[in-house]
Amino acid sequence: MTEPNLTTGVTVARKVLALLASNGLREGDRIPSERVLATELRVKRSVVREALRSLMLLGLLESRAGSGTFVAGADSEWVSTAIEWGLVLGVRNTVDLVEARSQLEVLAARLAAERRTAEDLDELRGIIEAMAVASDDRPRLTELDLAFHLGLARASHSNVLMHLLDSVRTLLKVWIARVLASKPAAELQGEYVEHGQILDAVIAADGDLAERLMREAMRKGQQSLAATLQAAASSETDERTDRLLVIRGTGATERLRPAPVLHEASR
Amino acid sequence: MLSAQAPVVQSPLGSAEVARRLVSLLLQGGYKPGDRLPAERQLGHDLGVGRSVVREALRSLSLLGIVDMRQGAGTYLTQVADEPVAKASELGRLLSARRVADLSTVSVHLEAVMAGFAAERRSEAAIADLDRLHADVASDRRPLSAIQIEHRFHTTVWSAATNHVLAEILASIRALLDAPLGRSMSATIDRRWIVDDHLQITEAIRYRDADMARAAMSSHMGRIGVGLRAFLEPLGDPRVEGSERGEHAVDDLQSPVDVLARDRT
Repeated sequence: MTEPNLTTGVTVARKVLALLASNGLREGDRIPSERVLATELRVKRSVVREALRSLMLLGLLESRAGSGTFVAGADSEWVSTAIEWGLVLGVRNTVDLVEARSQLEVLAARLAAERRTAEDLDELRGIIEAMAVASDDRPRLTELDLAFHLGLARASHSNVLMHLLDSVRTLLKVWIARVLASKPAAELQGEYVEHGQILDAVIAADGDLAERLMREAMRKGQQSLAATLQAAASSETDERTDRLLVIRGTGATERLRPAPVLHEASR
Repeated sequence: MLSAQAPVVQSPLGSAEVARRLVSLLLQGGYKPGDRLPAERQLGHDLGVGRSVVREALRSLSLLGIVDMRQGAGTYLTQVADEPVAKASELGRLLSARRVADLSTVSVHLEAVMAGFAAERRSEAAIADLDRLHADVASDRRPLSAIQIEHRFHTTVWSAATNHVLAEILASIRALLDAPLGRSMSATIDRRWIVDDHLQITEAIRYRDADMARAAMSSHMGRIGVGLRAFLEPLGDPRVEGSERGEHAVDDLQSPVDVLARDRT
């Protein structure tokens, strides 16, 4: 069998989507058989099969044992996956990512205040209590810090926001770790007070306050990151550090092409 | 009937998971469009799967236009110009009402954030771009539809805001919402007030008034949301009901009404 060329594949995949949509199908609905799709689109079944496999890989379709192939349900991750691929294929740099993350966390705090359930609050309370007693256990504090942010994102009950935050955090993993590593444990532990205030706003269902407190917390985080980036820039003097960019509003710098550095650091 | 809980079986490759891990790997590795990916053996090693699975996954990604497998020359992350399926507007037509509500909540918020950034950071060139857009719209030489005007205006604001990551996220969301928005707009929305909203936001950006830019963008997005809701509601989309978070879908699309009510009193 010859390799179908790229354009054909993309075109067929898009035609399949258009056909499903024009049949009025939405998330969670069962799709017609390969044979029907092939007839409708006037292409070979093998070509349709390839396209369906690709769309499954994107998470857009799922096959269920004995009942056929479905458009993935409204709780599935395909929308986030599509947005993530957009991020992979788009321009990005650390400064923009840090800023994007801050804004997404701020939205998560607001939505959490507006939508949290009793279980969400129990979970978040548990995390704050654990933070209060973790004293100078650095790995534990780091873990709890992440747990708090994840818990807030869940409490936002926005599937899209939760996954966006996850992708952006993945991209910033190395930097976030550096910032946390540069902080004295006492300071890390002190953050539970700050987090506790955010939680209080969430409990009080005060979206404005939760948003304001998170914005303030993120601003401090951005300053720490700026300091970390500056320290990294002055201690490493290879050719990559000669193109520096000022982080907005902080006066610190970053490499214009942080990507290769991230890659090495993640190994 | 369709939601019968038959177990979800792995696709033939066991691949959705492989693809997800591959996205993470590429994100963390900082790959950019046009970059060459590591060899299949290396990817297999990094993902903890066999080389044949990797090959299948890459092949599928190439059918989606995400990677470009060049015979004998390796695999490359595609250039954006190829319009991968992951960014295709066709995807939006499959969205449930609940998902539309979720996407629109996130975009309303981020659009306001970007309008604020645009006001703080806009260059003279960015203002010139916005003015040129308004002149094009006013001249009516090439009549633009409401949704075309919307796209061009927002894209221009994102450039003025100079955050590529947020712009990328908003572009993806906008592509997904394109179909529902396009249908709701042609049905219910008057092009003239969209243009008025745009002019107001532009003035706030011109005078570097970030608070005003955010507020004007919020009420603009609110009005768009009213149209979207008016469009979705008569459909009586059953997918909104019976879902655990269905109530938010309704809430999200109602809140813009409050914004609108405030504006008019």
